[in-house]
Amino acid sequence: MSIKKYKQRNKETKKQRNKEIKKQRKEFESHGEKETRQYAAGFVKKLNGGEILILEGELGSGKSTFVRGLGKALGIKKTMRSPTFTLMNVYKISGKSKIKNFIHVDAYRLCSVQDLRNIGLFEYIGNKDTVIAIEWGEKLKSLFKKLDLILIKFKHGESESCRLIIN
Amino acid sequence: MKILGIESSCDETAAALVDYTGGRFSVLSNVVASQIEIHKKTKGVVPEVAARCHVEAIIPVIKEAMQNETKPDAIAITKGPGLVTSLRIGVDTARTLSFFWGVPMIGVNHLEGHIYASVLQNTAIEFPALCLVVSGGHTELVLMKKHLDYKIIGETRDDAAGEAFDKVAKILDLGYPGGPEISKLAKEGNPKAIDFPRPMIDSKDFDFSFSGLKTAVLYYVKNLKPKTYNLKPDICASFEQAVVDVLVAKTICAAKKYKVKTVILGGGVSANQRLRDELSKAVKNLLPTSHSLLPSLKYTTDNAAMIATVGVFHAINKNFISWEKIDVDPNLSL
Repeated sequence: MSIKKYKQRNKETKKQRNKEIKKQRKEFESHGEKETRQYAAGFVKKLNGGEILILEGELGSGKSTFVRGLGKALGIKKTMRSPTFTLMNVYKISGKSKIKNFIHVDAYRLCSVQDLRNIGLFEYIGNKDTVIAIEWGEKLKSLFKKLDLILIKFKHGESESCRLIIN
Repeated sequence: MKILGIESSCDETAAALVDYTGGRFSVLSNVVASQIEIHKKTKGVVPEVAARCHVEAIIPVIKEAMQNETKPDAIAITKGPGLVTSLRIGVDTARTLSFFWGVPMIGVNHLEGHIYASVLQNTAIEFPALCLVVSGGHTELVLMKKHLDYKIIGETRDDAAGEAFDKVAKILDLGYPGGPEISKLAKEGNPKAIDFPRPMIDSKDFDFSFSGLKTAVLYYVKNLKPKTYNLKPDICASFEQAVVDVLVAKTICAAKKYKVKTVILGGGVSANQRLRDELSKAVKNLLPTSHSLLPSLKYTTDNAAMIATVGVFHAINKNFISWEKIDVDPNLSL
């Protein structure tokens, strides 16, 4: 086989594989805050503890609403305010759930992994009883290579109340 | 009594010397080294950068604030809430000075500072008092029955009012920080041009929500037909009006319920002229037995004079803490 042909074939299998990955990805269309929260509640059932969720999406695309839904389904009763100013909010979860801590991070202003260390996030990474949700985390993605991350994308839908959540 | 205030909770390194004699406050010095120019590039405070800037600025700032005084009677220091790396620099510097000078320390909550900023005009607070604290990180209604006694009766459920200003400024491609930029454009706009929502204005409690308002502005901008003329001033004015309407309505409602005698405004957003005008007008017209207390503009943003002022009240109550015991608390609440 010539190199040209090999490259061609390689390209095609890659395309095929990407298509399959895309198929496996689940896309959810939410028609309002309530549906986003319900979707988040369903998502919580899949969590075992120790996960890091990277939430990617524009301003107003539903990231915070999703995180509030997660928190509520995990049993947090406190008001979950925006972490934009504080950078990181830590919630303790009492009750039977094996997940004891929920961490809500806003990485919009952060530049490096060092920043995450400075705000104290490293104390929680790798803990089996902790779930971490990082908004605007896409820019830190490459730096997290060694860790297992769950990427969730948020997009604006066609109408004003519509949002796409791609998991 | 002379109190040295030190503040480094976010992006301003500040020190001030406040004198309290015969029941009157006088600010002997008020020095602020701002990092806004540095953080404009990143459109927000980067913690590591902020901490390094604090380290560089804090000694010269304190030196300038101390003028020719040898030592103060006490040091009032912001111990929270804020960025832990920034707070630490202020607290550790204050701790060193406390040890060196042999003067006691007073741990101050940053929000207390904003509440007491208007006391510097030497107008007494009559109790009960209600304080609206609005800044980039906070939107809180605080009830005070006496000095240094705080009860939060309402707060934001998602974004702070100042945060909404920053985010809307981002949507409209304006600079950072968003508040002053939006207010500047709003002056040329019509506040009634666009009917943005007034989130939770009719709810029975005193909580706020500004996240949905930001999204409403986002969709309004997205749905604009190819622009034939510049709508930004109208958007800014209408958005600002929506925020002010909710803040004023809730404050007045709470003031009536708790029959307060003083309505205090504090925090970075208290520099907003529309908010100042409408709140004082509403207090005058709707609460004839109360008066409003607004901080002068130079004390609306983060400064150490307000921290020293709180320090005076703590010193009167002998709420001192030793340099061995003081610690930062990034999540400190009132």
